[in-house]
Amino acid sequence: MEIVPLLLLVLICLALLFGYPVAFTLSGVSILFALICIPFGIFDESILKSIPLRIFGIMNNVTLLAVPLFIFMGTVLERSGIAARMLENMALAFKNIRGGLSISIIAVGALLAASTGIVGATVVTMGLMSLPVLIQQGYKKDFSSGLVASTGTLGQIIPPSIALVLLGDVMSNAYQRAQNNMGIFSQQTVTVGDLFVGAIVPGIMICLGYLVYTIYQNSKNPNILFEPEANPASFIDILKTLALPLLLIILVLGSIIAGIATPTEASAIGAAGALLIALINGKLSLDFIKETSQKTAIVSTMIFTILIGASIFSLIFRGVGGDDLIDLVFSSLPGGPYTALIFVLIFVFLLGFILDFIEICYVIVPLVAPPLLMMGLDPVWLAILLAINLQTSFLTPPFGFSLFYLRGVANESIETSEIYKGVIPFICIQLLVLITVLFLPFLVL
Amino acid sequence: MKVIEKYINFVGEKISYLIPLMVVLMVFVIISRYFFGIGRTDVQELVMYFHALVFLGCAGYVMNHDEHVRVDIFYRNASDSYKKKTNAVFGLLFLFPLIMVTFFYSIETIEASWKMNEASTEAGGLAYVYIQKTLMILFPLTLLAALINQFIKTRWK
Repeated sequence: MEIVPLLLLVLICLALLFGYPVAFTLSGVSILFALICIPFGIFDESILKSIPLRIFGIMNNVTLLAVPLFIFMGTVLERSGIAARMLENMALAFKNIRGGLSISIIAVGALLAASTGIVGATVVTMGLMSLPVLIQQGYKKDFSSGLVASTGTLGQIIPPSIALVLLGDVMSNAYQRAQNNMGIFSQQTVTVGDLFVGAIVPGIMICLGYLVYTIYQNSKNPNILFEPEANPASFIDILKTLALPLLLIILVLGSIIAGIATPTEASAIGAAGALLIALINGKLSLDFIKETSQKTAIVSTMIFTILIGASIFSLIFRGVGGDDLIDLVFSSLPGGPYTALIFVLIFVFLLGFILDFIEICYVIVPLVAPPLLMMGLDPVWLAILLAINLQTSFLTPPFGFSLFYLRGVANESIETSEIYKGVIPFICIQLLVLITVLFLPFLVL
Repeated sequence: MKVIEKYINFVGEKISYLIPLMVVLMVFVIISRYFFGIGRTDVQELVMYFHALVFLGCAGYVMNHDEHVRVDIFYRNASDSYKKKTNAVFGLLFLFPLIMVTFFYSIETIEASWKMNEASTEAGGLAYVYIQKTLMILFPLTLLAALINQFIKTRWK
């Protein structure tokens, strides 16, 4: 009977390629499939009755409330011109170091990741502002585009990231399901906060990896423009302009990591703080509120529509015996949990070429995570591995999202092949960190 | 003809103002709990109502703005007529069944909730769960409006 759920998966994959919105394709194909299955007795119609319960579950999920609030915080910070100012100030700060501009981009990328966390926005801002300057100052085109595209994806892994909030929600459900299946009564939980803490070391490792590679590249390139100033901007001056966003990051992350606030509470504080920063910068106006609110509503709705579509899919997929299919796949894999884990990582990496983080999070992870967790793998470790993996697929040609954003704003004189060539070393760094975390699980624990 | 589109956009734009309001209310809840030791489950739940109102009520608005994510490997470079056909065909084939199923099953759930005057199970929570559940109907309704609007706007040749 495993053929039925497999057929559903294949049909969905094919249907998605037409390009109709993912949320509607996922749920629409599943519903049609279920309706056809009912007369054959393969699917129990009463399962469809729990669709409203699933939607209501999403409506009442307090963890997921962090999603619109973090998006709002990021949008407000982004629209108040903070990214632009950070880039300018950081460039000044590193002016007296050879190759300082490229280093400042990594620093800004990491800070933006910790504050706004919006991949597209970060890549676009840095692509518009820094890429032309980098090339003008003698950095190679491929290296420059690779640097901007990859630092732009840091928002996926560096907390507080929306991706980790969603992954945390999914992982805690999967962990509960796994423990139920194993008949464990005194259950342990995993929270979004755990994931934030777990992502810190790998996030720093990736940034350091980028930094080492950048310094190496700079040492090989004699053409970089280097004109130190006699009176460099003092570090205090620079710190002053960075102080507010830095304070906000410390407040939001610190309160989560210290266990004082839940991610949802921290996201509300973060959003309020972002509004305050916009006010101090004189940007806060009715139009500004209107623009950022609408932007937030659109992105948030887009995400939650996928959550609804994906939950309808997984309801129906399980209803036609999808769990048996997954069990069959996992039990036919040779070797222990590690083979299964590597299989899943490769599978997810490949899916990352066509699907967005949110879709993979809510469609694939709920299916594959419970069996892996039942094999005894740690949920936080698994989540971080998946997150690094997906961040990498954002960067991988030809379908990486970050590359599309960069292509959209990069100058015509930069060939697409140069962008592809430029990101390859960064992809290698990502994979190196992924493998390190794979072999040294204590790095996330 | 433009009435539906105007209406969808009007609703979406107005609803999005709830987001800054949610921030303010959440901050109020946090201050009240951490500094005064008073839990405000009712306000917290009101924020959840608003949150649901945003993503359910804006579903059609987002569709109108074509902001629902697509797998666009082929779609991105396809011709306008391909895009038009795709949206029309799959609108009927995929979206319409979704609208119907969520509409009819939600109605049942909402009816049951009104009959029992469902209230929050949390201490100090709101007694209006039946209103919160009613919000679910916005999802199929706004999507239906957006779907109809899309059909009206498409120039058939």
